[in-house]
Amino acid sequence: MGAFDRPINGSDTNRKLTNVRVYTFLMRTWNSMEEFEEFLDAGGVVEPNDAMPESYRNAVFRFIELHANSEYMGGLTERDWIPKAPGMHRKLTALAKTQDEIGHAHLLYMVAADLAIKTREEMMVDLLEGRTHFHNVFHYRVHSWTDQIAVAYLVDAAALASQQAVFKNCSYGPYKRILRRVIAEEGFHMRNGEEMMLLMAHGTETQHDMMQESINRWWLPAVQLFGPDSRPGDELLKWHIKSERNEVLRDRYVQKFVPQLLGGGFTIPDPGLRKDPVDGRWKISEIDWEPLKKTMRNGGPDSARRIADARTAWQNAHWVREALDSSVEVPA
Amino acid sequence: MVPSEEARKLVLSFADDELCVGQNHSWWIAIGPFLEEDLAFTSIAQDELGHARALYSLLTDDIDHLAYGRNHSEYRSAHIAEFLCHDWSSALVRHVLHDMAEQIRWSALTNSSWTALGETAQRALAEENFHIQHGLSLLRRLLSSDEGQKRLEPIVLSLAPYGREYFADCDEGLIDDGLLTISMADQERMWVDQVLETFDDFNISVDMGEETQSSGRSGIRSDDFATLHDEMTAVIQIDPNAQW
Repeated sequence: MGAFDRPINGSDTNRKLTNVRVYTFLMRTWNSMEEFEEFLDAGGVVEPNDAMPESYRNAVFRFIELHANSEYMGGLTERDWIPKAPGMHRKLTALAKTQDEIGHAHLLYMVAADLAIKTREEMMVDLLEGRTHFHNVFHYRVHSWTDQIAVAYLVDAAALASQQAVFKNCSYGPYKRILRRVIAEEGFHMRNGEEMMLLMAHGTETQHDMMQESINRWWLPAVQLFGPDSRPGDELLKWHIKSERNEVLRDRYVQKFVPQLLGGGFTIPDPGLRKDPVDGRWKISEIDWEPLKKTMRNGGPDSARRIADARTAWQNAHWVREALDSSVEVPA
Repeated sequence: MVPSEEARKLVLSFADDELCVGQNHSWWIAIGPFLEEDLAFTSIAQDELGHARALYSLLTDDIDHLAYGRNHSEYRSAHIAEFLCHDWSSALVRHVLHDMAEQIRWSALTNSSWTALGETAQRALAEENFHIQHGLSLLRRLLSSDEGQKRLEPIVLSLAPYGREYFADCDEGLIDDGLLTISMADQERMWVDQVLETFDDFNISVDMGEETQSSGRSGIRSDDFATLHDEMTAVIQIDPNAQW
């Protein structure tokens, strides 16, 4: 037995519909945290059946659960406007995009469940009871079609930048493998958002005005997605779950998106925005993180409705899950 | 080139049915009973909308105008396709009844003398087999439970008769022209037999009624259509001449 071995209960294997198999044997173990961290620093990749330290297991789990919750809530954010998408092409691409987001949530919940801390069902119930969290951007309501574009263009781009930074050097194997697919799909979403944003930029005056209003609503939440500056000794960085500091990612995002938006004839809702004459880089105003903290505690502008809608749908369909779990396969 | 007015009406009816069902299925994204079901329903929604697009493209170069720009009375959709079905049980039952009908309707077109229509039917039929497999396996498993039987039986009894309208198009001349290889009456008989047999397995006796209950093919819309149409055209209406 190594230092990080977990007691294994053979009956843990749970094949209920909303759960997945739990690994019941261990592959590798480490004698101490120092030895484990050396393994990570040398580029080691951890797999779910390894006897990893509990603190690492919990940190990876919390991170993936937050990501899964956010993908799912992102799907809910977008669904309000899918039925209203203008024209057949936009409707099909909006459906495909949101299906991708739900697909990401599906994959991520399974990867998280493999860490044997919570089942998929427990994660879903915790989310819908408001006990766990999701990214700030999905606590806001989509008020218009151009808000939908802003989500695809500004929010997905911010999420993509964060995910790319995790993927680059992620020490948890299953997450890294899932991220390869997530990133490829998010790249399409962002380009789809960019194409629609440019159409609005060069469209009618009404369209341009609508897009500007949406930029006004979504710019700050998108920039805040990266979170406050990373703490010194951030364990997610130390254990190579993340590979870049929040402030670095945020700055890179600002340098890319400020010129794009200005180029589209839009203004950016930040009176303190300026180009530094010395280094030529765009600088944004100091961010007040207090509202973000409230949002992340499920106290954002649309958090209550969003969670309540999802909870109602989940509760209404309880009988379906129960019936399927208890039913036998009927031959076709 | 559309061969005849009857052919145009047949294709338009089918396209409008697919448009409405695809639109209605898309309502379920992210709020299905579990994530796998969200994904399946959304895939099927995309397929149905794709079928609508393929069918409209046989009639016009301006698909969006035909799909979204007509007066309500110019649509030919069957009422069962228009029903919003905002409870999941109804959505599932409609999905099964619709796809059983679709499978038969496409089969009657795969060898059509209208080559483009035949090719569209062949592609669509391949997808339909998956839809039916999905809907029926789920429905059968749910009906095998007491709770499923209790919840689904009344919905089956009330929705199934409306499905007859899928076959309410006039096929005069279409069989002789080789555009359609199974008459509408025969298609309807095949569908009714299949529906009755499916539910008979679960001791549900469906009464299909003497006559078709609705009149969507003749331009009369169901109560739900206005909501559905307002929803699908909400953004276009802001500026119908703009590119979105």
